[in-house]
Amino acid sequence: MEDPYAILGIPGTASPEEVRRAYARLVRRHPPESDPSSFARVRRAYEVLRDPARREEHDAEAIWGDECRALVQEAEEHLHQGRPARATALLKRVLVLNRNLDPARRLLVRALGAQGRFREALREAERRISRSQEDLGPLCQAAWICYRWIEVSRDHPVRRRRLEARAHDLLDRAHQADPEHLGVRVVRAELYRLMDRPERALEWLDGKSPGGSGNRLWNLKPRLIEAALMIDRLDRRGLQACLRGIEFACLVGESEKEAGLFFVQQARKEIRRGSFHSLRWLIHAAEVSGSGAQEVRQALAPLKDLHALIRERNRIPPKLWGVRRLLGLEIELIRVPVEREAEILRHWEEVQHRVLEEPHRLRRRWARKLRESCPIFSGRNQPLLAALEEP
Amino acid sequence: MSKHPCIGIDLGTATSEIAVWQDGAPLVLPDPDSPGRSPVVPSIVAVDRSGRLLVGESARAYVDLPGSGARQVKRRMGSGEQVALGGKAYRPEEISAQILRLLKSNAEQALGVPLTQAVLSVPANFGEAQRKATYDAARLAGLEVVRMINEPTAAALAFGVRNSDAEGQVVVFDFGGGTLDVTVLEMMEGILEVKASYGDAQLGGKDFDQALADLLEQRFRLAHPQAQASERARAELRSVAESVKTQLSRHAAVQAFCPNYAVEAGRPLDLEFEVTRREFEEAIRPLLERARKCLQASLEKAKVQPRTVGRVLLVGGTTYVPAVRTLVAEIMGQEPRREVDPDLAVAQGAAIEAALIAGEIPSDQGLIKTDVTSFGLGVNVVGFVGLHMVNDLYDALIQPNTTLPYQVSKSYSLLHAEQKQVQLCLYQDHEGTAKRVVDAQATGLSAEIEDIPVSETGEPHPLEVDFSYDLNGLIQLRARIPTTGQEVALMTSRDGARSLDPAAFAQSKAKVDDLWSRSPLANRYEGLIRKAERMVPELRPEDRKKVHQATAALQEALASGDESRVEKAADRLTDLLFDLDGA
Repeated sequence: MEDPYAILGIPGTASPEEVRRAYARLVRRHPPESDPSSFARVRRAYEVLRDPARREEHDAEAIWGDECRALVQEAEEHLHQGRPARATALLKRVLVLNRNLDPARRLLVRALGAQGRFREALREAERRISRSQEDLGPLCQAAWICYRWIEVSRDHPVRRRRLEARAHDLLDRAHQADPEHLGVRVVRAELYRLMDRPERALEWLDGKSPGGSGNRLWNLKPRLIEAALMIDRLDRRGLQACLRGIEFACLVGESEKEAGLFFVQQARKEIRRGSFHSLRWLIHAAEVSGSGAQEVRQALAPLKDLHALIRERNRIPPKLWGVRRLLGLEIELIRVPVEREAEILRHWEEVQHRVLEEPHRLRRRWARKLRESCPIFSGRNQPLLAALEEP
Repeated sequence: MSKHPCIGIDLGTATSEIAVWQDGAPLVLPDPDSPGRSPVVPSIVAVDRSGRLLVGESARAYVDLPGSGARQVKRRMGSGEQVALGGKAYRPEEISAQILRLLKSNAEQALGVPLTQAVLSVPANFGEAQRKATYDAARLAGLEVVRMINEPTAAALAFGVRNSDAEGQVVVFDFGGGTLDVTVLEMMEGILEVKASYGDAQLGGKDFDQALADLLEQRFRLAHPQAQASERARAELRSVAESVKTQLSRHAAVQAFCPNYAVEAGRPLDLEFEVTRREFEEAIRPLLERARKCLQASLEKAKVQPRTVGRVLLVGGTTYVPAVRTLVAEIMGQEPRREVDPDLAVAQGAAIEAALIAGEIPSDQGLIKTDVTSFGLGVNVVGFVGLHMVNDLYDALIQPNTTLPYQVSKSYSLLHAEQKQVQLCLYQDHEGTAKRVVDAQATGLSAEIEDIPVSETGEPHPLEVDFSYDLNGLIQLRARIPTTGQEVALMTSRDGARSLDPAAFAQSKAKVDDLWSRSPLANRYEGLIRKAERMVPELRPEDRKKVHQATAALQEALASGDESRVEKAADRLTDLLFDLDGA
């Protein structure tokens, strides 16, 4: 982006009136009819500088942009390593430089919440609501802070009631912004649970998911994401519950990283199991959580081979039973847990032995087929191939 | 004066006007058919019993006969509906072309030069389909559209050209026969900046007429529950309602009279009631409410407070209705001014625009205008809404009310590394709020890149899109995959992809020409030829031969459509007959 001040030929301190006059002068020189491209350039500059909010944003980015980004990154590190007080100080500095930097304020709310400074956290969260373009995230974060505050306010009934009303108000607005949003429903349910009104909580959960899956969500502990991390049985429903947890965690700005890493670990386990259905969900989740997508892809590399192998095996005619069997064992080797590997390899030896007893003509065809079918196989079994091809 | 005269045309729902830029000012050309040589041409087309085409003032007598007249075709522009006229079905643009032809012929007569190009005004809230239909109508009438200008912008130009030293915000409230447009502008140092336009495409004076006609009909039913009214009587009642509405702007109470409106027990009945202004205002209250919402929404869109607005201009015939003026005054907190002629300002503005484009108004001291796009354009993308991958999201390239010309570059990415092809479909969004493509309308324009090689890095290929949109509505879109060097460009203008394909155009053109040839205007020489034929039997044989030759030459010239040849041949025949008659 070119410097709009330079385009209009005015100093950074120019008043709105001076901006207007500079623009008017330049439009006369570059009218839209006869000089459209220069006009478009002048217009772009004018549009940034005429709007006080955009001008401020531009100034902040041009002068302090790099510094702010570095500070935010540093603060995030501190936050992840459990030093929220340090992060708070850095983030406040960022916001002094550029008060419109929403990501910094989001982190600040998190950092304050982590220190139990809920009053300040709630104030910042509400500033986000009034300033940010996006609806859902800031609303959910504010509701989440209310929720955490309620948790520790057992002995202050007046404050509790006030916070409950506030949280409901925030959630109502979030619900309006996206009635489909499960995260909002889950927080609402949690809120009712804290208020000792489980029947209302279930209503909110079941409103979206009839047929008992509400109960599973019900089991998610207050820190939803932690609960999601603990669920190990990853059937479809369990995964959906995890995803809701993650979705929520993303909204309130907590634990995306942990969630992502968890899914990476799960993905690795699933590859061993060869359960493709769950895998799809896992990759999806890891990508959504914004971290670990690359790792998941790497972890999936053997899975690709697996797919290729299965496809190959299904194409081989039954007459070539030996090749089919060997490829089948290859597949098993990728899928089974480590402790069963020895057993499979024993089977392998047996099959290899029988294959080598087949007549010579068939052996040549098998060798060719095996070479074509699967590079992994030929790599592992050079000796077998050599034996098959022997005259 | 430049090579072509700078012509502006206001093709309205109820009336149309044509103006020319002459001697540093816009001049609206008079309608020779109108009794007082008023420049206001009614936008009506009819076919009489003998199959003759009648356009404008001359069509009044036939337009309300069922099946033989067409009114308010502008409201159906771009809808794909057909209009029945004289037993044939026409597309709305084919009917509009007849009105444009009449305007063109009037202007050619007044200016004495053939017209080939013009600036056309359209309501700001017209979408791409309606603009295209208007464009086609002009082409069918033999006019090249230099530019389409939004009607309120044109009205503001008519104001601005005379008040180029004015400063501050201006609101143009353009309430015509078929549509309501509100435009907010800012004037500073002779620069007229359009900030935002907003409107209701289906609200206009014709709805007021209908409301009044319904009121009269309702009362008639109460008085005569058994009476039967014909379709034709109802159409007539609407014209009665129109004239009552006009009179109610000046009088507090008006007598509505529609003779032989219905039949009861074989006896004809007249419809005759007195309507007061208050009753009329009661009947149009829901319509006024819509107008109120529209005005408020447009102020909101332009981020303008009513008290910061320096001037309010009223344009369009419907603003003569006192209740409309009161409504505007109430919302704006000031009396609207009559600084422009509500009927003519748009045509004048269109002529001014033509002069601006032709460079007739010097940019170093005269008026400069910056205009906005009235709709946004965007592409179809895949993205996440929360956790769900959604494949029909709308991503805006340009928002409505962005000042033109405009350029932008955006970066996207393909979905996955093995993706073989990508298609960018262009959609338009009128409200500026579309989130998914279902909220927007397809433009039918798309660009595609095929045979994309698999990405070697394992990351999906990036996709870069450069987009530009200029004052002529020319869209240029270039999509590029920098890693493979593949590129596709899409360029469209009103002359190109937007218009009818040549075959359909030729067919349509033939239909329009056929209809036009049945107009008395097209047959300006018919009388001359008939006169010649009548004179022939009385002539001496040698003169007969001469007259025959001259007549044949004229007919030949007429068939060729070459205007100068026609004129020459006609002059020769005239001279010949004149001499013979005198002898």
